[in-house]
Amino acid sequence: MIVSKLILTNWRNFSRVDVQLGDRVFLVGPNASGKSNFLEVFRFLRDIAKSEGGGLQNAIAEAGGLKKIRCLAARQNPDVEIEVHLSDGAGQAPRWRYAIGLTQDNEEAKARLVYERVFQNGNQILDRPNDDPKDKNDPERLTQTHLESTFANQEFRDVAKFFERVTYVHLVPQLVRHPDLFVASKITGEPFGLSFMDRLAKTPKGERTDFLKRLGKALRVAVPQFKDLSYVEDEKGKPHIQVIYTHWRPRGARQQEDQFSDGTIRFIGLFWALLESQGLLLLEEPELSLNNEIVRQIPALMHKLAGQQGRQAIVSTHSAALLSDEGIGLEEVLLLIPHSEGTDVRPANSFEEAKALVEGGMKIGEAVLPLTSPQQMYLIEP
Amino acid sequence: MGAAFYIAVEDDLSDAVARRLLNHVRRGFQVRARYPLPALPHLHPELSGYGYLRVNVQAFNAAAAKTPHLLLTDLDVAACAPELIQEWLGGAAHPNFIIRVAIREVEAWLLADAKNMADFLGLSPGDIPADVESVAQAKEEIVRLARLSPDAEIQNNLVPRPGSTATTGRLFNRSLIGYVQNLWDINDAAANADSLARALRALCSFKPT
Repeated sequence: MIVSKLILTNWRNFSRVDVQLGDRVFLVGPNASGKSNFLEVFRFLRDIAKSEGGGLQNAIAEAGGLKKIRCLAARQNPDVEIEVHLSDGAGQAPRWRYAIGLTQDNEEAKARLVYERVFQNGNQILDRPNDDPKDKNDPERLTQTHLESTFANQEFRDVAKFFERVTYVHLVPQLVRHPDLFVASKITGEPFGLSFMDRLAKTPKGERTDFLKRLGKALRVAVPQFKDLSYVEDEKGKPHIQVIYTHWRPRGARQQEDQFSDGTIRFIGLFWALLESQGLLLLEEPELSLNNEIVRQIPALMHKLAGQQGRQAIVSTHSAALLSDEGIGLEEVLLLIPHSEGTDVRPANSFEEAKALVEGGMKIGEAVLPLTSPQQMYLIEP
Repeated sequence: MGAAFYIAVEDDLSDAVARRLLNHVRRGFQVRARYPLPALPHLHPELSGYGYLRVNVQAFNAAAAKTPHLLLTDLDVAACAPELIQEWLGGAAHPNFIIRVAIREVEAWLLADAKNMADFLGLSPGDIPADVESVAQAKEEIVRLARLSPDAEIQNNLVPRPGSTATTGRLFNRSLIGYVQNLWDINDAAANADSLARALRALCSFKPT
């Protein structure tokens, strides 16, 4: 299944979003236009649905409170609304529709549901609070979703499972190298790298060996001096990735992740996520620290590894190199256009000029990035 | 509000010049987007300067049907502007597509305002070449003139360091962009550079379809 449609009202810097999504989506927009906020919706749903430490209240707390979630441009309609359609493939009728509206009566009160609705194949199977007298009699019930409860989500368990499998990757190399140096407020599913080595350790051995073999092969193309990528545990039982760095000494030198370059760590993290992801994969600016020649391969890798078997990948990027792949269609690109009332999200193929440029032979990134890039950057003064 | 243009330019300096021209004709013209992405030549060094414009001129011509385009390029070594356009486009441009060619480089248009250029460089107007459109390499000419400047800052910003392989000083483009925005008198320049005068006329008479 993939998320085939996303509808948002008053989420972060989006007063209103209504977009179709395919199995591969590229988010393009200037700095501070809300690319991360867009991806965050799916993390938010995952945080509600996840079986360990999940739930609506935890998800809202992790997002900084409903006041922070609510769109700054919001005026008359302060409810935050999220609706997600899940389909078997792009452009197909939704198998599931899940929608919630959120509000908060005052700053001391817990955020609560205005509604929670589920549709299966077009038929509504959940309509809170309307069809549940208990919701009306006990307002406290509306501080929890049915999505987060194994008892209550029985009829739409697939939706909960789908959200729970959302993977988000935004590796910070320093955190992978030296997790001990940082105060470990290890959020479950923490995406920034503190728990990356732990994740590796928790992967079943057979799968891990297979992944590392494929990763090692790919890494060797990018960094020919690296060979024999392997998983090792030190005397304290701590997990490490190790390579042999070949040089003039006949046996080469062993290197572990604390000696890897930023680019190497990000390459490993990206590739691992593509291998590991089971459902929706969110990638934040995967081009960072990577050579353009590697970046150019990311869209094809996304398709080969994540875009098969009903998997889906959404990637935010500033990179013309990433968008230089001729296999990318304008319909796969979403443009984030900021204005005074928040940010609009529009598919790039709705821009007639961009379409004409691409039909005239221009590469997608070259046609689309100037539409969202800051102008006259030469005016910046130190 | 006037038409919102896509501009296609060789570099930041041409970007600044194109914006001043659009502003100068007082028809409320806006810039919607600039092509190429300024960082793009780093990806495709072979497409720096006019190379990118030439490769994509058909795409701009097609997109001009949807929104006005202004392309500004240097004639460099080509024989004449109509020939260059014919060679690039192989036919007539869409009426919404304004192609203007600086003879022989956009820097010549800046030299053409001799009084202000002389003030900027700390020289006298007599030091600036009179027939700017016959200067083969106007950019190099500005660097050459900057070497004669008594102004240490001009020397520092516009002239490459001794022994460097750089062709301009480290702040050459930024300094000239400042000149374009604050000092450059377009009417005086147009009186001395026919290709600039024609560019202005094209913008004044432009009717988007």
